[in-house]
Amino acid sequence: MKKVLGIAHKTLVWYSVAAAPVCVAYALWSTMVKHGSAPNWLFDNISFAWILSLCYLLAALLFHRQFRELVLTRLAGFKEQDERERRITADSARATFMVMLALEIILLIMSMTTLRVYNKNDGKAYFTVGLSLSSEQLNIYSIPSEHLRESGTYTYAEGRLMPANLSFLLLFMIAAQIGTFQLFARKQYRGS
Amino acid sequence: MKKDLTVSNCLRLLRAEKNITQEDLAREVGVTRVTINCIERAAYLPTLELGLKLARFFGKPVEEVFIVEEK
Repeated sequence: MKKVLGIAHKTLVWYSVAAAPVCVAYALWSTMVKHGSAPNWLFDNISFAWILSLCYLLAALLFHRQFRELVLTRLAGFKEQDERERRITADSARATFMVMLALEIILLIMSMTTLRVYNKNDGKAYFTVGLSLSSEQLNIYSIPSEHLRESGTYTYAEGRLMPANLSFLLLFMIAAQIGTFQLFARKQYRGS
Repeated sequence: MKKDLTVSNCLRLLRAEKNITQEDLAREVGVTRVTINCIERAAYLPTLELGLKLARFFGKPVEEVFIVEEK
């Protein structure tokens, strides 16, 4: 059973890598050229199977320990050939953890900070800064709550210090994590 | 008063006596060439296991390969 699962895993990984250029090219071709023409049965099915294999890869990244080690050590640029490199990896991972924790605290505070510029029909402009944490931030479709505003008040600008754009934030966190690790480890790996 | 200890080594000398390169020594004890270079420059203090492996390779007691000095 374990052997069968292993073969299935290897096949899915191989397929997701091998079919990637075909599926990306087909997707580009579909958007640029194909408009109005009949769908290609073969390529549509290849692409559908590819999407399924990608879903498997994402799950494997989380649950398949060996696969996770293989992929993520390459992505992060870990070198662990001997005890010195393992120690550098450990020290750098610790330093990276600290930096990322500090960064996450800063980002949390920034995302909680609200800014508002408004006037109250008295000819004066007001500027308020506040801190708030609400479940509204989790709803990407939320509309600013107009009904909460005071009557007779005109708001010029309102928002958070850091908008909660989750995709950008995650991309930034991944790049920052890998970049920070490399910053700490690269020179030491070379022995300088 | 607590005194700081520094550990130096005569790895470079022993290697020269045996006429082997850092690459050869690294292969013998199972580490990278950069690690041997770092140990020779005292930029990295090896673990007890690697220290013993190095001493055994040169056929000397570990305290003859690694010398502890008080600062």
